[in-house]
Amino acid sequence: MRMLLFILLVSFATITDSLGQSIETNGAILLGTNITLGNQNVLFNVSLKGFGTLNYGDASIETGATLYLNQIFKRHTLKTRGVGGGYELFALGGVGKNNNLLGASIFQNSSSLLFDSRESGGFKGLGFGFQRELLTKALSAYTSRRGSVIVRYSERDYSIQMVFRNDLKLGNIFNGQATDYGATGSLYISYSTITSNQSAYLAGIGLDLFTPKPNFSRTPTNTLNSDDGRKNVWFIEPSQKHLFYTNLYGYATYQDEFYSVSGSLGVNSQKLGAYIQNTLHDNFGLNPRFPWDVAAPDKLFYEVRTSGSIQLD
Amino acid sequence: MRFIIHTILIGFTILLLFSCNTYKTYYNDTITQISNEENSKDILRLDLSESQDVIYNIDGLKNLRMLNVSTRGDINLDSLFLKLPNPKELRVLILDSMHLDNLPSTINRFTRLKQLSLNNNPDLKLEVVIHKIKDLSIEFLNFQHNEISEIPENIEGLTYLKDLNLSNNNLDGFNHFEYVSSIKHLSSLWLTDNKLSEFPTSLGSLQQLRNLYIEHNNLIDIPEDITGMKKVWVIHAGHNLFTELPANFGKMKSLILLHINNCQISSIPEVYSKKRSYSMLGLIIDNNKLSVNEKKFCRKSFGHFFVLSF
Repeated sequence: MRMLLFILLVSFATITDSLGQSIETNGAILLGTNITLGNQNVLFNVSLKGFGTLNYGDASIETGATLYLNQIFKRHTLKTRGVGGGYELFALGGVGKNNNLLGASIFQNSSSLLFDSRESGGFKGLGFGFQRELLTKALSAYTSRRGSVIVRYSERDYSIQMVFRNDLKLGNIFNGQATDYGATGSLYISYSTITSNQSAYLAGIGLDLFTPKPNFSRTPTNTLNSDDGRKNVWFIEPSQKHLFYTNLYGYATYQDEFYSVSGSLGVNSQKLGAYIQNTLHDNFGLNPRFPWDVAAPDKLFYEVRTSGSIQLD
Repeated sequence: MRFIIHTILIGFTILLLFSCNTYKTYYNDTITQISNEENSKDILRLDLSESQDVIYNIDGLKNLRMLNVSTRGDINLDSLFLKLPNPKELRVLILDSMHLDNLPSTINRFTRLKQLSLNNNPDLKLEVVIHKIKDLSIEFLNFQHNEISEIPENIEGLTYLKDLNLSNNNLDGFNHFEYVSSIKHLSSLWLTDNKLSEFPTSLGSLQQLRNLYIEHNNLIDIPEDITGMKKVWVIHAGHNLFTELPANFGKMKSLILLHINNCQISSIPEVYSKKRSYSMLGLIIDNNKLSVNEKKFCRKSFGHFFVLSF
């Protein structure tokens, strides 16, 4: 798929160049560090993000890539120390005059924003991507790759984006790791806008599901989340039992020239996770279910992040 | 298309969450005793199986959706069923381990009952019980641990039945499974932990079945008749005596996910080397006897699966 995108990009550039048409490009790199403090994650992060657009007439392509390292103190609710990392790649095709770089809001780590206030937006596009997070020690089993499908709508100085991530594997386009545990499904809908030469905002809602690894060798007769015995449910190793969460939350980021602040606030609901995942597992041949504690009360989910960053145009 | 459907469903299900039947029936707190102070009309789920209390003060249980009185042999079911103030609300009734041989006729008050569990009542007269519930709209019947060795003919008259659990019984494959095959809307069938040494060929005519559970039996092969189950998505066939991944699973038209862990499988037949010749997209084949070469074959042939574990 990546090779195909590269070939398409080169072909596009070659054809348009031979026709004597002008190609407009824009791009930037963002170097950043951030500290995340929350009740599920405590991290120190160093990242490198790159994002670029290419326009020809009303046609537009954009692509982004990020590479990061995490010093982990707590991740996915589990206290553990170690160095992790990961990467993310995505590409979209669409129509519009697309130069303000707000498409970079698609990155999962949106605690620092990349933008170009000198240019305007205008993009309607669809694309795909994938990401991989590498974890260590007690969480190493949850190293996973997820595919993404992305829809973005942008006008002048704002952008609305919807990103769905899942660990499903569907050919080469949706390239998840196909484990069906760990960070499985996520949905983000966000709005980002450039407010001045040096500042931008982002606000959105997010949904993240995380499930522990089931014990595949045990017959799935767990009674938890079984609809009173009607559905088959996996057992989980006792040490992993608490690794369930479903966060439904709002999040926001303010980006200034060299720093940003970001926060997330919402609920961690086992009932919600059960309902969403049960619907998918019951109706799409993914049974058994996972043993969500459907009687557990909802918990608060919160996170604050501060970042320092340098944008290189 | 699958991920687009998932996206739409996630959004849709969030909107529905707080008003859906599932939430009311299964996700509410399960109360384990009725105190006098309790506002009993708020109780949706009542589990008295661990309680020693005499059951009184049930007049207020107007919204009860789940009742579990398992192990409570001291309870007069006829009287209890009569006293429940709003029997039409009840969706789930659990009567496990009660030494029952029959059900009271008052069970017919629960006209919207969806689930009935009668686990571990080995003296149960199956034919008589089925006759009593035949007019109810029961979707799930749980008959585990009942020492069943014959399937009664009248089971085919349970036209609302979608899920039937016959696990942990004495079924050996020659027990009139044709009656089960005649249940019109059967979607899930559990035959886990029985004495099946041969797969009942008459089950092949269950064309509408989606989930089949045949773990913990003595199966060594799967006959071609299973390909008659044209809509099966998921099969759990672990803890059997297969020495080869049964080729006939590969011939099933709709099979998505196969669980076949903890068997003696040491080889994968050729039919699985051609991706387009089978519909399967997920395989859990842990704890078998696959050699290094067979595992390589799995990685190569099944690398495109959305779930793969071995």
